[in-house]
Amino acid sequence: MTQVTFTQTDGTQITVEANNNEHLMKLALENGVEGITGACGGSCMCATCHVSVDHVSGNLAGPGEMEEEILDMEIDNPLATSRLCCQIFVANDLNAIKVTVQEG
Amino acid sequence: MAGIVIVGAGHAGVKVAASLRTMDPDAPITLLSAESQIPYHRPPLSKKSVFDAALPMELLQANGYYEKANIDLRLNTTVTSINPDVSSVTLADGQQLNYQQLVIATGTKVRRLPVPGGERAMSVYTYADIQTLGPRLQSANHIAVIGGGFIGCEIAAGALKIGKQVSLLITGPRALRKSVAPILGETVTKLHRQQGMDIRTGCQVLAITEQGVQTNQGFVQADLIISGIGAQANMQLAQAADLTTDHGILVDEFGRTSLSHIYAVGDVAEFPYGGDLLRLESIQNATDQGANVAANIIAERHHQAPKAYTPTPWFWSDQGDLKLQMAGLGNLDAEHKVLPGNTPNNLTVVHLSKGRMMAVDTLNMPANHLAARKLLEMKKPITWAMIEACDFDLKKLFKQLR
Repeated sequence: MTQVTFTQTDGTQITVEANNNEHLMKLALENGVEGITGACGGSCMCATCHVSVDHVSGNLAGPGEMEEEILDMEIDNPLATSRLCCQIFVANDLNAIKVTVQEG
Repeated sequence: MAGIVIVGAGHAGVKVAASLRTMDPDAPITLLSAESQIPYHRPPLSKKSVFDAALPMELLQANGYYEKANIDLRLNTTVTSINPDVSSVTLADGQQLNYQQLVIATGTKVRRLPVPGGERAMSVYTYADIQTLGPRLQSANHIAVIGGGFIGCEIAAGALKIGKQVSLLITGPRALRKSVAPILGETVTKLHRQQGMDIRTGCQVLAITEQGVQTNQGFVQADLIISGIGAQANMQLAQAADLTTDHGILVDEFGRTSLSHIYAVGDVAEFPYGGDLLRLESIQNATDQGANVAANIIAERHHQAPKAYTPTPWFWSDQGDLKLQMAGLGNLDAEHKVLPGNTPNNLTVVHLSKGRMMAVDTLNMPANHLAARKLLEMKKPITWAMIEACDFDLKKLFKQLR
């Protein structure tokens, strides 16, 4: 199990335990995290699940080509830590991750 | 007190409800779904869910969202009539629900094969469908898929990937004939064949038996038959209430039907687009039109002017390892030019009409898709000469024009 913490735009946090292969957009929707829409259902086709990654314990794979393009072109001021959370997958070697919801 | 009633809880219906709630914390919202499931994402059904029973249903909104947002979501609830004279809908249990504004988001229903035994072909449309189909697909050896559109290709490619023997039966000369540029359709057909898919073109289905599919090219043995031959607007309710319909429920650029206070949205709505009428089956349309109609309902309730819906359509399809992405509305009659730099598995095709870029289809080239989408959203004329002047780099062109 991996501990995933979402910080919402109002500063409140939601922490959940996640299973392997689940992505963070799905976890956010299921747990009612404010500000995550996931309009395309996790197909990496929109930018409505934008987060910044604040802390990682363990390993986290970097963004793929499409994700980098979306971050570059759909988001006005992407942060160095910006990710689309539908592309962040929980894995064995990811112990814990903290993200903050950003404007889509 | 009467409020807003939404019939149908697919992408469009849920988007209307959620957008309404964001804009108005108090308006009464009732969301009616004939299905028994909490509203969910449909695209993954044919792209991944049906191939992997372990994958959970992906919800459009969290389970507790509707209660928290004070949206009265009623599952297993069928509307039997719309009564515009008294501004109400009748439910299957006889109950009357009054509305101030009504939104019809009833989507589409799948076409059934009009051949003997056609009912034996299974379809992939609802979560209930894949609950039945998923286990049968796992245990099947030879699967026949009827229909070479997006759904048919997605199912055929996914089944092939999990090791099934797959025959794809297509009436036209290639896959995706109606949906993408001919060269892309040909490329996809070739790539699927290289993976071992048995694609039969010019293939007419005559009958379906327990052993397989009878076609004009002989008998195709199969222990599971799936059809993906398209869908049609689910609009009997609207027709019975005398709303104007064509291939869908006709709406104006603000999402309003021919009767006041009644809107239609998503797959079921046919709207004005570039001097023509268009009905789109896509997530982009459901989401963007949903948000637009929600805003126009709020405007109506506050006696303000509505805003027109002016979309840039886009679509995607995942077929095995192939990712197809389409920006804009392609056209078979357009001039199709391939951007240089393509490889056997990568392709970008520009649709040009009267010298102007109308649409861009890409295969495994997500960066070009996104750049094309951004370029089209600018609604400026883009010519091939402009693309050439930017070394065929669509992103560079976008950054120049921005």
